Amino acid sequence: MNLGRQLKWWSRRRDGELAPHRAARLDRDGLRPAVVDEAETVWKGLGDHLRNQAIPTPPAEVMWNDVRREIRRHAPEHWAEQHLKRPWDWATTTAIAIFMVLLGFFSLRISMPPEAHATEPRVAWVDAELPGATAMVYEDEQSGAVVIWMVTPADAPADGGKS
Amino acid sequence: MNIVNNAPPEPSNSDEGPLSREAVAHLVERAKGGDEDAFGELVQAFHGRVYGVIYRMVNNAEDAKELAQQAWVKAWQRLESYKGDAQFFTWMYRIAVNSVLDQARRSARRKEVSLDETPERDPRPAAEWQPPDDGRPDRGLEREEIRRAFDAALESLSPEHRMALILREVEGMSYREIGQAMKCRAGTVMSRIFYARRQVQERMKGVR
Repeated sequence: MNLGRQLKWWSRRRDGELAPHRAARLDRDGLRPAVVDEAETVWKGLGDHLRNQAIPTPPAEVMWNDVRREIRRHAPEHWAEQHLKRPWDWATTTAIAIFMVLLGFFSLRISMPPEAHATEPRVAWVDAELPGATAMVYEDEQSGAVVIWMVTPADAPADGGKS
Repeated sequence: MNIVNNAPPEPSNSDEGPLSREAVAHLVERAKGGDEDAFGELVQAFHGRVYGVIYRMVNNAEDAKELAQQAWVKAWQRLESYKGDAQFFTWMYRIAVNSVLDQARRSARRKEVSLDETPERDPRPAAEWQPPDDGRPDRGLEREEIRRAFDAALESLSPEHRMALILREVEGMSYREIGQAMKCRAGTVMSRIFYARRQVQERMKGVR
């Protein structure tokens, strides 16, 4: 086995990641060149150095307070990012809004009583062409017909007509 | 600020820190439902480990604090995406690792633009952590020299190599877990760690 591969295997073995049959082969071969010992010494020193490094850790409560403040500060933009970022979200939202408006409109129409339709004025304007005559327009509730009463200046018995 | 000398890593895999796996899962579920207090418990439980990894990468207390804060805010925002297939701390490390590597890449780009820029180092005195004194002043100096040499060697590694090494040596994570955190294969992790060790070894020649 060449030295490069041997070192690789020693590195993996150090991490507990070398397959058992390879570990057995390392042991069986028995030869452990000085360079492996040297490498192991430095690698161990490196691990100790990293673990023993002084870490000026801020208190956990302080970190959580800072994080919570940031979370609350970012909350509205996060919502927008989550829900309105993609164009198809806009399209979906618009389509749903239009659908809801149309649904509301038709529901209202369906639920309206027939009388409600009947109260809509069907005669907007009456021109009698008789000097001084006035016209009254109303709707007969029973028949649903529009009635126009004409009153003339002669105050004769009112002429009326049904349209 | 507390000065903490980290002990050797706990055995890997099932370690969820001070909370049991069930407790973590319960807190995560509550946090997903918008419970800030539950998330706060997670932050406080894992803060030391997450901050430690970031600090070892950036070697600057202010940067480490900011990056840790960013990572936790991202975690809160992405909590819905955590499905429980990996352990929470592995998922959290993935976010922290990404924050650090993104920052490192941004710094590298800035350096390319401005060659005069020098990396900001922690202004704390280098000897804030004192190795055990065995009564020999020359030994102390020797250790200090070794410490500085290790720091310089680590600084020469790429962020990806350094991160893989830190997660292995300090956190005791398996290659598979490191791969999950760094979004790469276990074989890549193995190569990175081996390369990092060899690089450091090369740089340590002549020291001692």
